[in-house]
Amino acid sequence: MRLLVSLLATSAAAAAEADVAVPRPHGWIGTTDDWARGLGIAFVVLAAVLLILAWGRLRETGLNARLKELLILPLVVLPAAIVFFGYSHGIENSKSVEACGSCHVMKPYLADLRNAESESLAATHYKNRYIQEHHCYTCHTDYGMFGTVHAKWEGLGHVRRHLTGSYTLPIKIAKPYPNQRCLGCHGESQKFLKSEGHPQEDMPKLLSGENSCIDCHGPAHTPAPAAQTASR
Amino acid sequence: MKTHAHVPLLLRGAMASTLLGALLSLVLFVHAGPYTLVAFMFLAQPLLLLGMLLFAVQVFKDLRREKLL
Repeated sequence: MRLLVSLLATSAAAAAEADVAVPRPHGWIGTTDDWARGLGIAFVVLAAVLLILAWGRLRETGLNARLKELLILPLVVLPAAIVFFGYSHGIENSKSVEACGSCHVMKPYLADLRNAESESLAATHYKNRYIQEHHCYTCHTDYGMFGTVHAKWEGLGHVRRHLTGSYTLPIKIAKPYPNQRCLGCHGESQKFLKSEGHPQEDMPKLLSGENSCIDCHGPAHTPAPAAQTASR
Repeated sequence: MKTHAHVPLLLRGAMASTLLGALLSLVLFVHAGPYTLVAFMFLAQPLLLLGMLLFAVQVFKDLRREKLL
């Protein structure tokens, strides 16, 4: 138990260290993702050990009813658990800034995001922690039931294009950035509603997207131009 | 000379497929990233499902042979 907690704490600290200087508090028991990871590893190891033991037994005695019953665990129950925890851990981690920045083409954007001197919209949100975590994902995912599904589907397309090199530099956002993503957080804040820059008569245009938030509050990102085009 | 008992081909396939799928999943658990997630979704998961399917076919065949179905 102590070993498991130690393993979870180490992985949590490593994950936090990669993103921020001061790790966010996880509590002694770790996060849901730490547990998904730890249990996933434990189930993979258990399945492998049971399969190897079962193989030795099968070679000695052949297949019998008892062995068949035992094989349900490594061939049915544990794989189902591995798939469950794999998705839980994989999807959660695919939201991280590190996951977005793992492709070379995104590195200049990541550098800008983490640059405390940068005045870009993304860097301002990041350094002030207007968004607590999953910084890229939060701003580049639509709200609603299918927002995550759509973002993941697009993410698969990004991996495919990165693997096949079927993209052009400098990269651009695929579609105009929708105001709804900004308004998801800011829309109900008094700072937004009472700002002189957002007069009531302009609200319909902001809500419809006719006036883009980025037009006044941009640029969203300011990647270094040389790094941006030389990153392939 | 030691002789080994016969292990049905379907069961061997199920075990190999599951073992390979589980080890590929381990890569995702050790290092989660876009590539390992894609490998998990399109390689590990189908292998784990294939293992389950082959095992189910083996069980079904055994039940038919023993006239329990």
